[in-house]
Amino acid sequence: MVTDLIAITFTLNGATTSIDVSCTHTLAKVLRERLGLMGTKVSCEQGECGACTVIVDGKAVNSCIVLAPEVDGCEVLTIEGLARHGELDPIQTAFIEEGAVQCGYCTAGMIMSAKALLTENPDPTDLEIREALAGNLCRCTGYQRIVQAVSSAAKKLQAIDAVARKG
Amino acid sequence: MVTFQYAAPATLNDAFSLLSGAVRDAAPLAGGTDLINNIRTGAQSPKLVILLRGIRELSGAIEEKQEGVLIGALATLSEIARHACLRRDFPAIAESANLIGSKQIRNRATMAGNLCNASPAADTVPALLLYDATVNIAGSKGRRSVPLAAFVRSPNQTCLAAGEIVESVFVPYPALPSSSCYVRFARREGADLAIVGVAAFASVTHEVRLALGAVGPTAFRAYEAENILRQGVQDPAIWERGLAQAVNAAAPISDLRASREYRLALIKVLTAEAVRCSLDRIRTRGGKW
Repeated sequence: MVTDLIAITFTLNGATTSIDVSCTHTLAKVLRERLGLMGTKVSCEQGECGACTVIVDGKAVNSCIVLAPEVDGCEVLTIEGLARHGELDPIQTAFIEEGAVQCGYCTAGMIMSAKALLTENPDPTDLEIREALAGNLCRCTGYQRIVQAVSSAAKKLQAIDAVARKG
Repeated sequence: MVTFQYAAPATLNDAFSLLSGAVRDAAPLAGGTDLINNIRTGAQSPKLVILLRGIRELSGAIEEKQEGVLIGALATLSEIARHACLRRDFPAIAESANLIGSKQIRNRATMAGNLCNASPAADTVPALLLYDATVNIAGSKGRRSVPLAAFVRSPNQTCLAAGEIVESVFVPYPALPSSSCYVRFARREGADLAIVGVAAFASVTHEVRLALGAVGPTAFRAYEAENILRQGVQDPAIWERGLAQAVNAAAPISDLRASREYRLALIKVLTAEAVRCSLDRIRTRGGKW
């Protein structure tokens, strides 16, 4: 029962994934170094900057302070899981269109926080967007464009949703 | 190189035997937002990390019982912050939970963990002290309940004995109409710790309660200031005397976040704000002060 190497099975970007992990490794480390998903960035490594944000069971979390074995049985979504059939997620498109990317290091985390927000709240106010992104630091300080991108993504998603409901 | 072993017990009994078992220095893991960082910095170096989330007797539920609200050890700060009953009847508690860390932190961190970490700046502690919260503890020798004021002993120190864990936190319903407010000052919202945190409670029966955080070794109720303010907050002399007494009750230190003098000055400002806000909230709810 007490162990240091653990076999875990979880859903990663829609696919069932089984892997033996060291119990001291974080989810961020396993995603990047064992599973090759480099889109999740590691920066502060103390849960402050949000660059490593991924979605676990529908909630945005800092993958640098989640132990890999903790996601056993969970559903994990990373930036690599957003595009569908070669088409970017509307949030990704909005970031490009609004020029919300500068150096790009914070972008994946920003988009994952935005994804969690818009899934829970499809029509957020600017304040709600800023609250949801408060744990994501952009040291290029491009926050205004980022907030605009999330707002524009919300409208895109609402339009897609409306078409789907009519259809 | 950080090393520890890991266990994910399914029952409390399994957890108790692990906590008091062969491996010394076992650390329970709930949200992990303090623990994982502490392990990384070396502030904590457990030999065994025990995941609490899989324990079937532990719950993340927030239940409205006959006498009050029971908050399960696994309830996250996000869940507490948006809980309708807590927001309505215990606004300071919901507010304090919502001020901790970022969304990502609140989605993971638990209130029980905030109490067990026993930081002098823990935001939920002043808010819970207002309502005389009790901490329900489980251990191999049985269960016990401790008032929160006795649970947090000193910085990073609780009254938990080896092998004990927090099972839930109970908050009795206040006499209504009442309201409360938690305000804090930090250098940066979304990541930083409180420089000073003040929780205030007011009821239509002219009761005022105050609890201060980050201005002493533990958060505490400022009973003498409460007694002064209870005599009538509309009287400017009583108001000033009450605020001065709140400042007197504190013993802040200077640290990297602020000087002692700055903290003392903040107590007055934040106490005034928290009391006024509680009174406004009672009025908004149709209560008459």
